[in-house]
Amino acid sequence: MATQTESRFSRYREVFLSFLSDTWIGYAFVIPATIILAVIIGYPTLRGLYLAFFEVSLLNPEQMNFVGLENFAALASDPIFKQALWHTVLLTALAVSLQYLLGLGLALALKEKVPGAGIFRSLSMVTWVMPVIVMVIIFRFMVQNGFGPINILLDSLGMPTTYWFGEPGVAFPLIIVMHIWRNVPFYAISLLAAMQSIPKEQYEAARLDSAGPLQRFRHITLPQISYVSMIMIVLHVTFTFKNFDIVYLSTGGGPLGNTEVLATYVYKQAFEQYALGMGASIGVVMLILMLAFTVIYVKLEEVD
Amino acid sequence: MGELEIQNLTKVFQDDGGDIIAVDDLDIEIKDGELIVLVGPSGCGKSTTLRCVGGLESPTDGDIVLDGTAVTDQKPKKRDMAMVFQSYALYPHMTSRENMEFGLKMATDLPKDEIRSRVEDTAEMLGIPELLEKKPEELSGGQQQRVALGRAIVREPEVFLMDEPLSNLDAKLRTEMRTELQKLQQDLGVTTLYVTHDQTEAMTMSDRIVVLNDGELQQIGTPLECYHEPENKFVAGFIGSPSMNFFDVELDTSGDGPTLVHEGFKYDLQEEVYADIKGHGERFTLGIRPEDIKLATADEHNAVTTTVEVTEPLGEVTYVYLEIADQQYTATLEGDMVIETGRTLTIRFPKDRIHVFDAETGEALRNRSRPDDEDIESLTGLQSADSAQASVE
Repeated sequence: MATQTESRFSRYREVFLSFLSDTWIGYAFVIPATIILAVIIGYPTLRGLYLAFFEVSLLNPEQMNFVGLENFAALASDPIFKQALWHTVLLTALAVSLQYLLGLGLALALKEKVPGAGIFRSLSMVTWVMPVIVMVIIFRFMVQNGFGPINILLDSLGMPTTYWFGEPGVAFPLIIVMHIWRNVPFYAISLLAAMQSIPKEQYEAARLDSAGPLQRFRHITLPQISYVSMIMIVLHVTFTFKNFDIVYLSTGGGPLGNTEVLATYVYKQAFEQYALGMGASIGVVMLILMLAFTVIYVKLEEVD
Repeated sequence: MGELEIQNLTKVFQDDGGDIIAVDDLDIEIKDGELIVLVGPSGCGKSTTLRCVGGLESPTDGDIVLDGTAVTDQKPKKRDMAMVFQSYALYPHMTSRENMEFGLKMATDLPKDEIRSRVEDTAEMLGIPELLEKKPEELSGGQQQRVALGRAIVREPEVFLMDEPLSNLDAKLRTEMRTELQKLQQDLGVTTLYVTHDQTEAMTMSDRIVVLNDGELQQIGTPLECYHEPENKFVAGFIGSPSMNFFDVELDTSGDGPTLVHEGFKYDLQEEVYADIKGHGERFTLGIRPEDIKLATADEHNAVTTTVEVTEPLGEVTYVYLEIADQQYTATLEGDMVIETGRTLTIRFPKDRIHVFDAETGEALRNRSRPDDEDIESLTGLQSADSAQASVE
């Protein structure tokens, strides 16, 4: 009996050890990332969700008053919040759709053997790699009153000059332009890669099938870049929706709240008004909206 | 009608290093309903020719004439030709049905149900109605091939262009499809220009073969013409498998009669052969097909002594690789003959089977005598007489 028990235990031990040896490397790889994620993403998210139901001041974070859904009720009647939400949606919709269309056009142009396309392809990623602050400083310099190149040009044409980031009605379009300038090459490169994976025989077959250039684009190119297109669009919708740096560094949400977006409003509530709870509740609204996009993204990933 | 003429077709590609002449002054006349196979080694210009005919490349010079009208400068869609590609080039995001419908939708104003019924009829003919709702990725190579054929057939074009359509299939399927394609072409009666590097396909499928090399026309003729009466050494070597054996020989007229002298043997020429090659210098290439090589006794006239290097028994026949003066040659011998490696073998080249080429130009000066048609004629005559008798009884 004793030997039998012993052998049974040794068998368990073997199975357990083989399980360990098979999986421990896997765990070893996964655990550090999981811990880092938990610390830098998991904890702040949960903490943010928690804070959204309290009235907390940044100046005295120890003192927290539970207020239930009052923060959200206040948001619902806050005109600035509504304006920021509208600006965010508008910015996302305009920037992403314009980026996509221009990126698609650029990709089509690059696909043809335009001289210098190769050099452009390498250089174009510069806008995407450049730190946002550098880009914003360049733009601010460009529209600088007095010696900004754009104003010099406008002046020579006899048109009005001003610091355009400070001009209501111009600041918001300028922010869209910055998003476009930054991201169009990235769209173009991604779409170009997708286009180049389409064998040229398909285009030749389509030519013999009497399809003209537009029909070839519509029936051959477009369906075969649709997957990459959707991924690019969904990713950039989330990027743009939560974008803080471009707006905050260029206009800080001004002039007169003309470029206020949710991300800048969160920051202002939490760190300028010291209303930590209020800021957290805006964050929760953003989180919910972003989750919706994430679900779409995950669904798209599953399609492939 | 689908009478196709290729007139003085020349295609030059610009490359960094200079001009590459892909097709050089090519003339081909193709009758309505004919199946013409363009054959040649890689880079001989056969695909370029096909693409020029289809309008995918514009010729540097020359004309493509379809039913008396020059279509050289017309876009592919105006030419009423359909092409089958080696890679099939099916649209991956469309079902087989949509693939087949695409050309009709683009090129014609046919009503939807007409398109539908034409696609279904074609699918029926090709035996693929159950594949219509599937996408290319769900199909095997052979099935994709059929859909690609269907896409071409459903258009009912004047000319089919086929660019190595069977090359991506496995050997067994290729043989099957070869027969099927040939039958299909005969049933449809559509002029077909077929490109392949496989001389077996060329031999078995075509009404006439066009042999190309380095962009230049070598020969146009029926498969058997190209086989038995090659116009030059290139055609002789390219058509037929295993290839024809070539011997570099010199003409010696100093002895009793004209003799071709090779390092390994001497070959006394007949008067009529000598008459054909006389006046073309002294250096020639003697050619003989492996299956025309016969075994001989050592004392026989014109016998050649050889050493057996390797044998490849295929069952029905045996390929014997022989060494003559340090060069390897092939003979096809009967399959039930046991031949050991390393033994000495005496062979002869029957006088009515030899080819002689000019060593410089490669031009055929003497071809083997044409095989008699009489035997088969008399045989079929007998058969029909028999059957007639049978029906009387």
